[in-house]
Amino acid sequence: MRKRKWMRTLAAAAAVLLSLSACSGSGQETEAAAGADTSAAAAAEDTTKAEEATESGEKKTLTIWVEKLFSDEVNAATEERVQQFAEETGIEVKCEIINSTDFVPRLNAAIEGGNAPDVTYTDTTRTMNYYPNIPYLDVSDLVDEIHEERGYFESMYTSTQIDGVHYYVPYCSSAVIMYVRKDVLEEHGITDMPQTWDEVVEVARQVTDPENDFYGLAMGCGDNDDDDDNTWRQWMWNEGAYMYNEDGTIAITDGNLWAQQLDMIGGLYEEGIYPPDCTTWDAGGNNTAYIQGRAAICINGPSLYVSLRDDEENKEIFENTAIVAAPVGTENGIYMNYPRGYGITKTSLYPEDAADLIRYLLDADWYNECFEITAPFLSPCFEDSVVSDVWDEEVNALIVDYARNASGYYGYPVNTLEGRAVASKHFFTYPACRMVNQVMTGTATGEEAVEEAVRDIEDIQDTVH
Amino acid sequence: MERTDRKRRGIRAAENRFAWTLNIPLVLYLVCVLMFPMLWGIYISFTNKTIGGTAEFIGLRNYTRLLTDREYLNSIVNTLKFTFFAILFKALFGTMMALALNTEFKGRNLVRAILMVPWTLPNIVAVYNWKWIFNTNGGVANYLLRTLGLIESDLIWFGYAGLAMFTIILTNVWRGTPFFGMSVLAKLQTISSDYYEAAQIDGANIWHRFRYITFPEIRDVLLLTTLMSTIWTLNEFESVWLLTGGGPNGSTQVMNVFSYRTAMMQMMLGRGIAVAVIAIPFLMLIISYLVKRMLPDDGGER
Amino acid sequence: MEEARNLKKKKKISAGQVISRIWIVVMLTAAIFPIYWMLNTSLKSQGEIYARIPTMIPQNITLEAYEYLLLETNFVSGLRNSLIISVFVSLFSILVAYPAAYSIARVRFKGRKFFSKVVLFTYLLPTSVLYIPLYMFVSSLKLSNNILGLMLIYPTFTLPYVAWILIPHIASIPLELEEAAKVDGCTRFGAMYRIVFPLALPGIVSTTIFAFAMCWGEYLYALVNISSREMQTFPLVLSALIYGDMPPWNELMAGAILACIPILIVYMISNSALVGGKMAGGVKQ
Repeated sequence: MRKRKWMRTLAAAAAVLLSLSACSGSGQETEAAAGADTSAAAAAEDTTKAEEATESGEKKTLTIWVEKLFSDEVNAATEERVQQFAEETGIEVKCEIINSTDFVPRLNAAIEGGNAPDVTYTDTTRTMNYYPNIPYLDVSDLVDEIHEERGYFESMYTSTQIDGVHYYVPYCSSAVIMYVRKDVLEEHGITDMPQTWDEVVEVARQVTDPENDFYGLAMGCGDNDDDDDNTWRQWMWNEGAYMYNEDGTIAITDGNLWAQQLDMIGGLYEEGIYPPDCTTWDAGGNNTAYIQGRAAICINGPSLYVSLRDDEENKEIFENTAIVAAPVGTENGIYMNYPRGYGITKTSLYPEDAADLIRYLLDADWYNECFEITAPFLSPCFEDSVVSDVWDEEVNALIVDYARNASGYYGYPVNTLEGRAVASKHFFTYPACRMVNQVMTGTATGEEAVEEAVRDIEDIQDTVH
Repeated sequence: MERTDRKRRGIRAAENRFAWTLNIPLVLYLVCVLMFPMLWGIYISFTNKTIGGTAEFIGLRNYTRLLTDREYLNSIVNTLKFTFFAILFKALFGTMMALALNTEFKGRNLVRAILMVPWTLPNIVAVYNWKWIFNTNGGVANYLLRTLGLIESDLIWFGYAGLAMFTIILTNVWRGTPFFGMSVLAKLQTISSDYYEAAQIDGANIWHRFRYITFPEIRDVLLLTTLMSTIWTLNEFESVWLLTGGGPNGSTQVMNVFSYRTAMMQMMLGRGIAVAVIAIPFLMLIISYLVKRMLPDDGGER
Repeated sequence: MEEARNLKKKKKISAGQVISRIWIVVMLTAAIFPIYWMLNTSLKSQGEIYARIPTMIPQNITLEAYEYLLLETNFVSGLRNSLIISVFVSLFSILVAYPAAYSIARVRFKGRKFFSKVVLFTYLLPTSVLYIPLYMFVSSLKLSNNILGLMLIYPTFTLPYVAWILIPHIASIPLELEEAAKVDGCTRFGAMYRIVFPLALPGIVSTTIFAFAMCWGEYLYALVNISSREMQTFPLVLSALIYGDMPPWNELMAGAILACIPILIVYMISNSALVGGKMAGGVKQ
């Protein structure tokens, strides 16, 4: 067995050598030809693979990549469910659980290598970042079918629909909630939990105590903090400051609102209501600061709730924590929606079976049970999921409420295909964090930061056209 | 005359044959495995290839575009800063380490093994460890410095351009010093102690002994190690990406972090690779210099 | 070498020795402290790790991170895979690069400079660029998701290094020894392996170890090429632990500590080879 493998390796190496020497000229022409060769070969290989599979009655193979979630339970349950599907249908399914930082580089390599998985976990920004070469099939029909059967939350259905098309099947959603140290607030005679951003700032101001390394508000703006980028963005929306208009034109300079907000935030940083090191945090910085008792208010996903609840050492802080809905603004209460779901790649040999697999993962009984077990990690996205009592419990209810009402998405309220692509691509520079960072560190004024963002957006618009 | 000429030519031919027989495995490997990726990379840098998209030849547009990109130019400055200081300290500390280890003392083997460890740690783990040490939420660096009374309030390590640059250089030096140390040490061990004894009798002091005996002997290895390490450091990606992600505000964004961002996060593969391709002529200069210095006697003479 | 001299004469400590001792202590501290911190972290519970004031000695020593790593994950098989790859690639590199280094150092052949340059041209593009075409290449051979694929591509970064670093080691061995051997009827090839190779052994051993270590912790190529659990190398197993907002530092560091051990063993064993090499090197004078 071993020996044969070696022989194959050798033979393959020899073959490559031969093909290389056969076209060992130089210049781009040969290169292009070589490129074309490989893709053609790959395509031919694909079809032969499919033929072979059907002719010999060999098992079909599907590959699904699932992003590793904060909950081991969900990961294990998903894997198990996929294997169940394999058993029931007789299709061989390879399921890989991949953590988020590794997901994109691996997917990119797989796409370029011509063997992308059939089904992958994805979200809107990631999908649209590939525009104009979105690697996923239009699955609008599948989504509509599921919508009819189970009834998506309206917010989920619409926020994932891009110019009338669904590129992936929404599967779950996350939420952002606010963690407040009620004991600290009480010490300062505050009994009402803050509900608006203004109130949050006001409370934060009162409880901040830099002498003792204690700060009002744990919000970070490090270079790779995708998490807080959303929170900053939400704050801006709530105060009426947008990056884009509906038609995709730039709105970030309108009325100077963004710049003013930024300067205000920079002022708050100077005042000391944010921990001074928040400019270097990654997505975990705000949680850590909160768990360490360095901050009074933290706006984060439910993962923080779970670590507070489950870790013995965090018991004291957990007992002193009030969990309330994320703040709203003076202008509106738009929440950022965090839909995630499954897309079928265009290169899949068995898109029908891939669709079946997704249907199988969205089967109401299993789906609802799975989400109940892992609550409040993730919010389900169907009306029929949340009828159970589980979702009436305090935090769980907050999560579902959030997901149901969250209508914001990257680039909101832009609604053109190209506009959403630009917004998604821009997101990966974590622009809100970057601007806040520049203002906090004194690298730029609000206005200068906004100017730079405009340049960045224009650059992206150029490349998309 | 003619006869010796022919004979010499015969020897020359035999030499060539012998050498290329020895070189064949390496040549075969490089041609089989690396030729395609290299040519592919260079070709792609002249196209507008995006991930998942087709490649259209666009001539020099990626390059002209980059040369006016402030972020790119800034990344070049960062790369040079990073490489210069990292190499300087690695070479200095490494040479000192080799000299110190070349003396006899109890437990030398163990010390040598321990000093090797930083280099043998997987990059990713070493980097995460430093990230954890410099963490502002309970990291030990601030705690130690505070306890020792060296700082009054916590330093925000990754928050300021200078400090962040310091941390990425420190991480690189910490990992890279043993490489210099061990390379130089291997050479030092082949120097006979007779030289030193003779020098001692002549009354040479420690500096003279280093300057006139040790240094000439290790110069080649040191130069080779330095240049090799320069190439690696110029091309460093992983440690910077994991430590600072290029921040704050791009102040530690070295060339390849910028390249990776462009190619993998903005999906502009062609432009991202062009970043790396621009560096090729400079790397080639370094390599040519290295070859010239290391193989000066290529005149067919013995 | 100074010590040796002193032993022969009087036990007098020179300034150079003092400096070198101090420097060794400084280096040891610098090398050990971060490693101690890894060990320290690996023995703590998650709660203690995230304490606001770090504890220099773990208050409650727990082995849960090690237990988790060894029993609940595929870390052990990851180590095994890494070991197989690293051993194979480092030996392969010496096997292929030694003759080339010898020819560059010793034989004046046509195209010598060009060839030695081309070897280094391998480093012209960074791994962060090469990983995509190399992945395409490996998967076209049907070797993706297989450690054989990694064995195939890792020499791309070890070979040029090994070949080049061996050149000065080989060049420093006196030509006369080789010529004497040839007079004794040794072939050129024989001289290369029987005379030069053992004399260059200290250099060869340290080079092999470095090549080994280069493969040992490699991450990016492994990441894109390997997908199944059975084929994962240990850096992948460790990086898979990092998800969510807060990395499990104790498990990561436990993994790092465990991963040091094989290298240390290799290094300790090879030290004897280094000493042997030194003696052989001494003969030449």
